[in-house]
Amino acid sequence: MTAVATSIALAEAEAFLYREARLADAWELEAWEALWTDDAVYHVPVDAGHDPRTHMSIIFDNRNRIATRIKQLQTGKRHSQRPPSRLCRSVSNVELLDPEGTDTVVTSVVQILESRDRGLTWWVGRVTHRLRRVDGQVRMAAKTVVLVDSDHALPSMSFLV
Amino acid sequence: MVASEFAAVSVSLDSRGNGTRLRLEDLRSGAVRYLDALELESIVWAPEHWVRELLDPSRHRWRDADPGPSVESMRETDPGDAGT
Amino acid sequence: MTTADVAPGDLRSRVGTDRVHGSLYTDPAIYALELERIWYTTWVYVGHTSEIPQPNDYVRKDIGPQQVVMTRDKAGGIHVLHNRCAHRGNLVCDAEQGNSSSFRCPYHGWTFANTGELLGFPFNQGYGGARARERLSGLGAAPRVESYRGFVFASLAAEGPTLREHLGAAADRIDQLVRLSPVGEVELTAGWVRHEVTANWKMLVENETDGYHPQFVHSSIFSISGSGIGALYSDKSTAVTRALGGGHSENDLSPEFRRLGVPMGWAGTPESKIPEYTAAMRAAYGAENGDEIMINGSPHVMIFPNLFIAEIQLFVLQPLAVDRTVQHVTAIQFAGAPDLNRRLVTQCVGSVGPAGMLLADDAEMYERNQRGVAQRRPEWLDLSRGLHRERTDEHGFTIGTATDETSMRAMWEHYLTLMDPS
Repeated sequence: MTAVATSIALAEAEAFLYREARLADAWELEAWEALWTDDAVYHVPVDAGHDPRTHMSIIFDNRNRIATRIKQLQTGKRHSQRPPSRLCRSVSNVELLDPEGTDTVVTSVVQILESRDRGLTWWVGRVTHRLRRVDGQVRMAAKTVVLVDSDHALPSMSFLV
Repeated sequence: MVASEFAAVSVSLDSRGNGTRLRLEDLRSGAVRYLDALELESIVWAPEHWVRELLDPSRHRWRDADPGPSVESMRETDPGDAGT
Repeated sequence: MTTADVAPGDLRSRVGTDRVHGSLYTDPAIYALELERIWYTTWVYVGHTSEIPQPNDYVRKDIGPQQVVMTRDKAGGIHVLHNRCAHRGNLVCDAEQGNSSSFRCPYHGWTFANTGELLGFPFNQGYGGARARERLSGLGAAPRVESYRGFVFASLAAEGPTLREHLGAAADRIDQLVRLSPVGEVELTAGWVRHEVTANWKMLVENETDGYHPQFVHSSIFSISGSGIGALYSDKSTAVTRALGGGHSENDLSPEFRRLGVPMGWAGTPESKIPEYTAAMRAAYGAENGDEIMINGSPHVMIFPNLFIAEIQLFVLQPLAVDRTVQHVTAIQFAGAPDLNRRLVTQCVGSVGPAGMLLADDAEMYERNQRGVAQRRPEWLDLSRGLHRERTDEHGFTIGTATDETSMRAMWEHYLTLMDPS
């Protein structure tokens, strides 16, 4: 395969991000999980400057733990998502950054409004996706969400951010 | 650079003279001071209360009378640096 | 709302042996009184010496809603200072942490040593010269600061029991934790996640050693991860709930871990994954003792009012309002155990915090509980579970089974001695 065939153009990356956002909002858990590659890393840091292997993060999942997270939601007994949060998120400011190897790196801004019994929570962050074409389909190998207020005390955030 | 939330000082070695000296620049004001080896040695041997006294803002920097050397007079003036 | 709103005797009528009144979680006057009589009086955990290892290190911390700075002076002494300039009351420190022998307020330049002492102020003729220092105030300091095995506690009261008296048997649990390091030291260097809940702080204290809830609240994760934790908190478990005195309590799971008899079985970590650690432990303590320490495991202890050591993670509770509490949580790191420490961070991050597979569900219960307890009937919360089968162990502590409410009853008993000492 040539570099041209593997790289992902801006429009295709945007379409992927919108789809991922829609699946997460709609609680399409299996379809959302299928977007990940086998070596996936899902990271929501407290401080993006720290090594997540030695420092606390809000989420730092490998592929196995992503699967566990999904299964936990599917039990119907994940109390913090009973009933599931009602979500609507908007993805914007999408840009392609320098690729990492053959992976395409995409940055964007996400704004999520979450509605629960406790009230409305507005989550905003800068997102970095590392995208890869696998068997002709765009997949995400890494997703990092740096919330603007990640250094402050946050309420529970047990939906898929 | 040595910096905290209270101050930011650039530290470098200056060897344009016949011997090496330490160059300290207060990045918030631009004031510069050079310290040679003997001055540094003397600071190492100065008692703790001497440093504490320097930390009194009225001691040298912000005082009502006899203002002492101004920031301008301490600013480094080296024609060789002009334009850089 | 003032503390005068709580009439004498009010509290004793709201706390019974087997029940407690709902208003204790919702009444702002009670909360105000708790700040004065508990949070600003008794020993409160502030931080760990490993967070300020070098001379002149400092880190921002809190005692309930009070913002403090924990400092290490040049001579090694530890201070807990209020983050409030003695001049106009401005916050003096902004940074989460740093290294500085002195602090200069950004508002008018007043400068304080990291012991709290006033070093000077700009244009001192306005105060009649430098000697005004003698009559002007330095930074407010906690009158009593003591540490136990690196755990730094402060009391905002000048007098009272010593830290050692306050900790009592809970000190042994800190010993138990620290022994899990081959060099006998815990390090809190993995940073913090802060998780805020809309609930009264006592909901959290009570939940920490409530062995009745895990099977229900955490069944979602236990059922899919094959975790044995659920079984530890069942009617068949040999684990006990123990009141340690002073409002402290624990779920002592070590009988179950001893039954398992596998070093590091308590952590669910096979020895093959951490060979350097287990070798270092046996080298440090001897083969037999080392194994025993690694079999018995880490404590699950709530040290009243704000330090919760839960095996591999440490929580610090911070009340901010009658219905607002922040949990600060970090993975415990053991000095001399790098291979174990990396696993502990990974394990801890999966469990705790806003997205944690355990703690998000605990938090949901705190918040539902806070909303529920505001409803009018039946007014009381029941505390009677296991009262009839409570007994005294060989050390004189009151114990119940793994799922009994022994720890809550003991917490409330101590609460009354602080809140209504008459």
